[in-house]
Amino acid sequence: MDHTRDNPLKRFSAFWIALLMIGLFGIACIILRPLTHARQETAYMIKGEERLQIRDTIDRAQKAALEAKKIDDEAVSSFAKTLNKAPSAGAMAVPGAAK
Amino acid sequence: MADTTQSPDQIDIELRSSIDRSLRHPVMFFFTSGAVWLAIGVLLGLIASAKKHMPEFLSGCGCFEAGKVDAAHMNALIYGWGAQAAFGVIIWLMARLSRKECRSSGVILLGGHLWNLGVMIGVGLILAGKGSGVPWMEFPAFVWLLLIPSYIMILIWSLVQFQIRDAGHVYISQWYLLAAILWFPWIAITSVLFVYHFEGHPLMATAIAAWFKSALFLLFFLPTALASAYYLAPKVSGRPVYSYSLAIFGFWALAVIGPWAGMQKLAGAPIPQFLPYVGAAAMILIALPAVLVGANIINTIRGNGEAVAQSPSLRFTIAGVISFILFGVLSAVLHTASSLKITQFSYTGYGLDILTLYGVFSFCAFGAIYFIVPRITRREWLSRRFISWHFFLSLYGISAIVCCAIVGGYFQGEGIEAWNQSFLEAASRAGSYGWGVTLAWFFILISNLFFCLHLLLMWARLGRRSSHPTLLKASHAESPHGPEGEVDNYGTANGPAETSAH
Repeated sequence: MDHTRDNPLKRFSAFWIALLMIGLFGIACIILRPLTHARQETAYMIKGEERLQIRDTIDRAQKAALEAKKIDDEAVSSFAKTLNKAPSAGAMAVPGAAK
Repeated sequence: MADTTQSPDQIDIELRSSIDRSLRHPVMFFFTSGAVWLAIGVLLGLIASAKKHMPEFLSGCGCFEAGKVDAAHMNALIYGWGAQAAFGVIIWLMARLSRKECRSSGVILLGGHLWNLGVMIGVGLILAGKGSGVPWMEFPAFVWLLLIPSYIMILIWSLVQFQIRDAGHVYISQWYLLAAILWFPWIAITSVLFVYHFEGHPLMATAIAAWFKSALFLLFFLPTALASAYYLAPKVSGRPVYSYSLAIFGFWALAVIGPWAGMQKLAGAPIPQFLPYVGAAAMILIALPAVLVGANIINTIRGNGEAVAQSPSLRFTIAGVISFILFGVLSAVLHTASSLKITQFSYTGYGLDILTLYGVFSFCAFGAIYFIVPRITRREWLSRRFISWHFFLSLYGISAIVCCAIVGGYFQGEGIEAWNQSFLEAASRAGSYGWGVTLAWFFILISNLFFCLHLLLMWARLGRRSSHPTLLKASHAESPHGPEGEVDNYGTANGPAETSAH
């Protein structure tokens, strides 16, 4: 039998080589990470700030347009008038109805 | 003056005996704790299967909700049973084939306890609703920080043993063992880092998780099972491997094809279109190593039908090898472009998963356990009936699960594809097959309770003190080992064998 391969030094070096081989996968992942997770300029990143400003403007305009007083005075009253109107025959032809 | 000259046979017997003694505690620890986890995993599988067709079953208990119990079932089977059975087989086989005693059984045992602690925490947290939801990686991310170091503590010594082995032939089993030892950290570290720790696109994390699921079987459990089969078939039948060239070709076919499989699960998802189809092609090509390895091992034992019928190790191993061929054929059929759309979201995948984990890996692992345990405990198995029940109930159970899940899943998939049917209607197509799966898990549970009890008795050294291996036949009248008796041919637990070792 060949015993030259089994000695404390060989075991010691074999242990560290084995540990390195296992650890190598983790090290490789960490090294490769910048390649696989490169910072990308997405449309969200480029236009994000501008879109938030537009949305802010729209929100403010909408808020102003929907003030309670205006709704009471104009929108509700015109809606109430429509509801109170007597029903009338529409212009659209209804199948089966008398002309 | 004592006679110090020993024949080469005696030196060999003493060496094997000392290797077995050095690994007795860690190997028995992995096998028995694995068997307990197997019983737990199968029980959870029974509950998970019942909940698929009886959602109100155990509905009063929050921890047994379908999603939680299904994940706990798979993880208990994979990391509780599968990984620990694989550890036991790997450390024993590598020590025997490298012909080196283990000098680090304490560290391996510590690693084994840490692994069990990790699995216990993981399964507990899944049942508590804290699982990650990533298939086959449902343990919360921090559990992996316990599992990966304990894996290194357990298996690094096998790499050292391989490195310092006496110069000479490297057996095909060693090729597979070495590959399994190194591939697991590759797939586990890569998947854990990319899924849990690196902030990437969630869709790619899903793709990596799908790859992990496939790779864990093809690159860890399967090589371990094949290493065991390539060791046991020639050992028990007393014949050399039928074709070594075919064995090496089968190994490289698995090494080249295996890593590409997995992403077929994401066919139709917005990832680069070639990825799912490369995965599907790899799953079809897996039939190549399956048929090559299967034919090689079956040819090795051809003409030894008696040995297969009598030896528990060989019977389980051959059942595992036949399951591997079946897996290869089913994999080729179910991953074609026309089948994939039907099987992708149905019960069929579960059938294939259980065929791989139980039919292929577990059967080969049972074969190895029935071979290894008498050698390290120096006792023979107590009851051939327990072994027979274990075999037949397991075989019946796995056949029923595979048939019901694959056929039921196919009908379910057709229902999902039919645009004019509701999803509920499609799901109900698999309902009656679900009953079949539940019943099959019940048979597997009974079989594994026998196995677990038998193994615990062996661990307690309550096995038979006999020169006869426990064979699966009615009597030992024609045994070549001579008449039955209270003969301990393996020597004492603390000393070398005096007469022979088998």
